[in-house]
Amino acid sequence: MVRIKQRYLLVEIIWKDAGVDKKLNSQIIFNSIRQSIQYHFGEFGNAKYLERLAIKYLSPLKNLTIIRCARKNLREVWSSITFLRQINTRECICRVLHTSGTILSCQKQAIKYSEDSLLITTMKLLFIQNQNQNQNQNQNQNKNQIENENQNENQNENQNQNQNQNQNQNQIENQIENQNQNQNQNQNQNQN
Amino acid sequence: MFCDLYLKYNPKNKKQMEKLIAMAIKLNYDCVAFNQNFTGKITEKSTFEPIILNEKKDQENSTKKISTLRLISDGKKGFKQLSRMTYIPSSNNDFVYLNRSSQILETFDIVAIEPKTKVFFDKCCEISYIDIITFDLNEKIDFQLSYKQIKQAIRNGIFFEIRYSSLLGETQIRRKAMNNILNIIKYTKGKNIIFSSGTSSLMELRGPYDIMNLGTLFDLPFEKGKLSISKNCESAISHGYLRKTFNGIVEQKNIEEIDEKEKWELGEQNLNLNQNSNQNSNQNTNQNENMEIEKQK
Repeated sequence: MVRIKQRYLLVEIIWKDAGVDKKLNSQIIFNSIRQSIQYHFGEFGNAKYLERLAIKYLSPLKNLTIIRCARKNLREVWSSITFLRQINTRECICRVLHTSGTILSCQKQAIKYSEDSLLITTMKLLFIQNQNQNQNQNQNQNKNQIENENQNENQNENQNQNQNQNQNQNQIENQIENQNQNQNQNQNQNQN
Repeated sequence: MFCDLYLKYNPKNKKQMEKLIAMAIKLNYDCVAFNQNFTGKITEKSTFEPIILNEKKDQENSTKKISTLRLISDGKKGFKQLSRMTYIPSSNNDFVYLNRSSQILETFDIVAIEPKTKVFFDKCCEISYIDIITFDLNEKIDFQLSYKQIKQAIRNGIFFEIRYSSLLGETQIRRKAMNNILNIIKYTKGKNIIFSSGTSSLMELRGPYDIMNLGTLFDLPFEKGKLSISKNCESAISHGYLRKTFNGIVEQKNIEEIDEKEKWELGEQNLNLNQNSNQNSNQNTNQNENMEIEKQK
């Protein structure tokens, strides 16, 4: 058996508006790629480079797509993607993040890229907000409140621990014959 | 390290430049050069002000609006902004204004020439004090390139630039640009080529790996395309840096500009001078011998 050689391209679309269009189909992107192949490589290229060309995955929220093409036509299909200037009358940049022979490694890379981009943006926003808070004078007031709360919590915990220890000691010492003497001693200890 | 050595400089429209830098950082570029054009006799004084990354604004504005540049550039360290000039001679005698001794060469990091006739192109290949030869790809190159002159230019360490933004124009411009790029790569045999975007608009930038792939359409193999964005640009920058030194052997610097790692070369006497009298520190100069360059010679 001979496997059919093909390549998968992971493409990110960067819009000029930086907005989200939920009506994006895979067919709209396929048609725009086919038009750019027709424009740059002519009738013959349109016949040749459309072999095995398909769009396997599209998420309009994250602006990521996975495109399949034949391996021998990789360079021409890739360059026709970079020549794209607009999709559905919106200006955009198409940027290839990863190429691979199997769709699985493309999927891994897409998950990794989207996780990283989410993490970085949220962490930076938090970082800048913290910086702005530190500049204000509210920082000292917040600190004092937190310290007071911590002290109260520590006191409560110590009291609970002492009560538990006394209960355990009582249970063990009840087994001993001389109950009265020990109980008196415990009471003295508790008073101390 | 990916570089883009041609972005148009607009001191009036600074928001556009901020957006350009933000997009360049997003596309994984590490170095960017802003270009200023000169024609005829050079009398203007050049002023280049790099845009400050991580700029802190007032507290009231910062909570409401956070600029996209600041969001992206917080994680990035060591992003460079360079200054660059291109001289476009209009008549045959204009070459007098750009001598080895002219002072404007020292103010820019990179110097380029855009020849339009055969005479200029032959002169540019013989000179060694410029870094880059560019071509206007929107119009067809009138003169014919020759192997002999280009081989001499490569020996001098001069690079040939291709601006890929004209590939994204209208149909007639695109056809001329493709023809010119095929000519340049044919005569240089894929050596000493730099890809750069000659744009001021945001949507004409492309990622570095996309450009390497574009080179394969014009008979440039993928590995040489990778060199044309990363390593050739670095050597062009270092070629421009050596112009400020004395024949690439001795360098002159102020004491304040020296890094802390290199301060042991000063000796104890000069360090004490720097602490006692900061007023005279501008007059004191240091001559650091670059031992590596001497060894090469």
